[in-house]
Amino acid sequence: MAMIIKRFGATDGWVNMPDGTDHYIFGFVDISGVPENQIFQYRGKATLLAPLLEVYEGDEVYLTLTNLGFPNRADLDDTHTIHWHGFPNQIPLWDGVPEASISVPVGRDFTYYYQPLDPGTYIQHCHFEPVEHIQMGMVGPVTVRPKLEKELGLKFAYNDENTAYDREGLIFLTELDPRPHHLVANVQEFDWTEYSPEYWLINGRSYPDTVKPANDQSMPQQPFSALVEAYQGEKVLLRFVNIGFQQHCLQIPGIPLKVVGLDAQQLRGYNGEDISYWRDVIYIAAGQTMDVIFTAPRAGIYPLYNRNLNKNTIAGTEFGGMVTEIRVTLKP
Amino acid sequence: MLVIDLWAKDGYLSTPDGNSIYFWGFSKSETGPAQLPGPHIVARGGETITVNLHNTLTEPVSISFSGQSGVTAGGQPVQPQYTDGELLSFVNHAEPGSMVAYTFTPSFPGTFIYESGTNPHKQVPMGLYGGLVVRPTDYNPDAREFKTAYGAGTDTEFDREYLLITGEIDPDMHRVAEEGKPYLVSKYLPRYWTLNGRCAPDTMLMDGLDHLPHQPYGSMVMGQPGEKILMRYIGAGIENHPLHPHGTHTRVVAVDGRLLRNENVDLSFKRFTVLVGAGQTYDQIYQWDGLGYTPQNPIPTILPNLRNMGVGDAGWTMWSGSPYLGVKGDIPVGVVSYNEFGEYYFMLHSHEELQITNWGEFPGGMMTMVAIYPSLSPVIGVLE
Amino acid sequence: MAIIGRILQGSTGFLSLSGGNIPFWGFTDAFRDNPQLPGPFIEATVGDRLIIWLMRNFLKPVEEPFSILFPGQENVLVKKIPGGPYIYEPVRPQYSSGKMISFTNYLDEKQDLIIEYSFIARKPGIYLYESGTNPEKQIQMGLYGIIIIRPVGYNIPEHPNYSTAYGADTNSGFDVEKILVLSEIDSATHNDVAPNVYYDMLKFKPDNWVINGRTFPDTVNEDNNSSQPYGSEINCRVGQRVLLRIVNAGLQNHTLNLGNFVGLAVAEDSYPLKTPSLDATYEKTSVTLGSGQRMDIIITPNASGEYYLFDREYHHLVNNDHFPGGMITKINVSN
Ligand SMILES: [Cu+2]
Ligand SMILES: [Cu+2]
Repeated sequence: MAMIIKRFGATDGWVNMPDGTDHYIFGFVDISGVPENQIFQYRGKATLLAPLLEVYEGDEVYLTLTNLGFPNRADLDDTHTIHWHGFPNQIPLWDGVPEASISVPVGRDFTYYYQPLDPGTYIQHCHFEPVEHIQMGMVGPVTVRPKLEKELGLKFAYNDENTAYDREGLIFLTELDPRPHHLVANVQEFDWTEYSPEYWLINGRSYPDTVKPANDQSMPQQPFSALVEAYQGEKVLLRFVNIGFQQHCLQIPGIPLKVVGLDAQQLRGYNGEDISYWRDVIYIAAGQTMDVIFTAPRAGIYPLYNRNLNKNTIAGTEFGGMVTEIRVTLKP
Repeated sequence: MLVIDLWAKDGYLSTPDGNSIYFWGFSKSETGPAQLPGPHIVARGGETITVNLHNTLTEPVSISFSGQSGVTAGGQPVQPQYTDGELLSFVNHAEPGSMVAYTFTPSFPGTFIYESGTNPHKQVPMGLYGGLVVRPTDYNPDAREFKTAYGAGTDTEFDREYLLITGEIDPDMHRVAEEGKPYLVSKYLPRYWTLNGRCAPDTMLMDGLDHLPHQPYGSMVMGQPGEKILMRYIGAGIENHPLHPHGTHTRVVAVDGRLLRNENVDLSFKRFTVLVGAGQTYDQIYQWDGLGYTPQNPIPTILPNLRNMGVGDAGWTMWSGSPYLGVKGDIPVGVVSYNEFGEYYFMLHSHEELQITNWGEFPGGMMTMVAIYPSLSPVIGVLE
Repeated sequence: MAIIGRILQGSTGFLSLSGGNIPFWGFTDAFRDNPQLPGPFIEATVGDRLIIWLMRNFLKPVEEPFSILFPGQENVLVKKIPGGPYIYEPVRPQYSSGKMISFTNYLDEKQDLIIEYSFIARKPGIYLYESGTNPEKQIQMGLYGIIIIRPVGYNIPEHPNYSTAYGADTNSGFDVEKILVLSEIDSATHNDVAPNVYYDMLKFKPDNWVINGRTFPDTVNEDNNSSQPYGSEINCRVGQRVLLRIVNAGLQNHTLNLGNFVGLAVAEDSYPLKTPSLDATYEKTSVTLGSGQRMDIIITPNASGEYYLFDREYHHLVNNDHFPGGMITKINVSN
């Protein structure tokens, strides 16, 4: 068990889409270990997604949220929270729901504490005016690794050798409706019942940007790649997360997918029955996560895309969106 | 033998943002108000149920009992109904001003929807739906082993139970129905999302309030630490909704009123978000055990000065001001706390977040709270 | 272990829907006059090698490159004349200027005569085949069809797999089988789409909801030789096991109410739920299928009469905003 001390700043920033458009976002930025007199340099540097919070089962996690304010919207004094979505047996103090506990005003800090006891794929997001703050980008992944990894020195999704894998990929789904982003940037209100996204994103990017490497210079505020690479025969764990406002159906023709976990729970019946199952299409609703393992088939490129095919677009101008690639090569 | 009379009527729903919306619903009595959802029907497996539907609306109305077999109308098996050779109802209907009697004997326990089978594209979104709960034949609320959703030995014991029925409302569609104008589903765009017919924050109010005569059911889920809280979800609208309770996972034990179990093989599973499909039901056990923090076993972080924090920014909070269950702290001056006994509140809401607004304004819509009390009267969380 | 060969073409035609005749693109067996929706049902047995030749159409070509993708199948091979590959190679996505333009190798009718896809039917089930090229547009336009893979011994009365969807011990034995391919059609899209022009699917707003390419009440008409050849009315007797093979070919998710019967789900995405180690079959009265998903459901009607199967998203039960229509079909149960 380790003590994990992290600090995230809440602020704003800009993301860009493959059609060259820029969109105003709210989000988080990792300021762990940054000296106090330098944290303001991170204002405006929010990333989509928020930094990955990756911990082991049993770790003690102290996550401090600092509200750095919005340099692009200095008039806005929104507070923020971090909601660890799916944390079992949570108490309200650290649940991040402003109506039921605390939120963090501009210039203030608050420390959330978690001791995760169940491995799996979770979500973190702000819960202050969540329709706005989630759509604006205050979302990120949380991975809790099982103890078994430490015991055996191998990788597992859960504490079960049947969930062993060699590589993992994150498939984190959101949508972007440019109208609220534009209106928020320009101090105007949006009627959320008119929500109608034009960009569909994996890991904060739209294809073809999804397959660019992590921390690509052209997208400083979208650091997560969605390209999955593996050698033939390797086991690959895909952590599917949907924190958009729509249901999505992802498929990878040519690759059968074994679903081993849902919502950070291994698929086990009440008496320990192995109820994992196979699918060709991963149908995932907002606020759900799914852990899927496949064996990398013969070498080649396998597209992963949304079977709700109308969503595979870049604002209606060309093909793109919730699309990425699984690249399988032969082990040299 | 259970005999229930339902009157199909019209009325007006009230939304927290001050709207009044025409709707159609079922009423318990000839003189009572139409209600959304219709009256809960709670029966026992093997018990014969007769539902007398009295239609006071201006078009034919029927009731389809999803998942029930052997339903009869006037003694004959229900049949689709036609006008001029065109399908009008999936089952026998009552013409305006008349009555139809349905009889059936549920052979399985579970959670079911009842809804209009006539012009369902209009009548169901207009509000003609309700929930049916069938108890197992061995149900006995006074003996723990027999206070179950699906019978002794099925691992479905519960301490309290709640029925949560989802729906959507497009007020423009309701207005054209009121005005008798063409009901064009292609124009549909919902502005309100409901739990038990109400939008948040009304969802968190009690049952049977005078100012909500047509929306008698609250949706506040209440229990104690360690209790098994049975949440019965019914998707009565035409959309699917991902309902996410904070606090902890739920174990899904049954779908569409069918236990997820084959002989000795248990197929139940845990989720933190359940997609409530249109016309489908999900029975789940929610059990919040907590992390054991008390003033004697304090939290490992320091509670900041609350004047420096956001607490009740809207002028109210449901928080106690303390990290500990059953303890009340100091809420900043000027903030109204709805917290009574230091209970914990966990939000339960659609994660398609636009649905937790009332016509675009957060907070609202398909949202409620799970309240965990240090101790709670046994009369709370009883379905009758 | 037979070779199942099928020559298909893509072509343009018209669908008869509530809004009148609207253009569509569909697959057809070669040298037939009109395309069909859904494309021809192709049947094979586990172990068979399927070879699908997709041939240039000189009369009513689609006029933009298109392809066939086989979701659920593994190790699909391809060759193409002219242009190659001339010997079988694994299918692969196609790129232009570094950007994917097709999920698989395609037929360009301007330069190619024929493209040949081949794979071995490895497991029983019901599968889609569909275009992998501009699929948001081409699948909406109708370029999809169905492959049924039978277990070995499926048609041999003394075989334990006889008349089962997934073989013995999978609880998938049936007396009556009906394939129900769900989809939706936006007539405005169909009228506006032009070959080789990107179509803005943000405008996509379907106005027809179809089972096997037809809207109710056409769904209950018999199979015929039209461009919408497959009816979906089900006729059975009390006590028979009726296998509903539900396929969501649409771009949207759909919920099918099973005629108020309680159905037994025996397979999802063609993976049987009952295996030697676990019986994970379960019962449902309505099923929600995501786009591209399939479900095999067995219903066993216990009383004679007429029943309707319908999309529980009730707004999909209309033609031109008029109920009844759309995604409804009928089950007739006799004694
Ligand atoms: Cu959440
Ligand atoms: Cu939440």
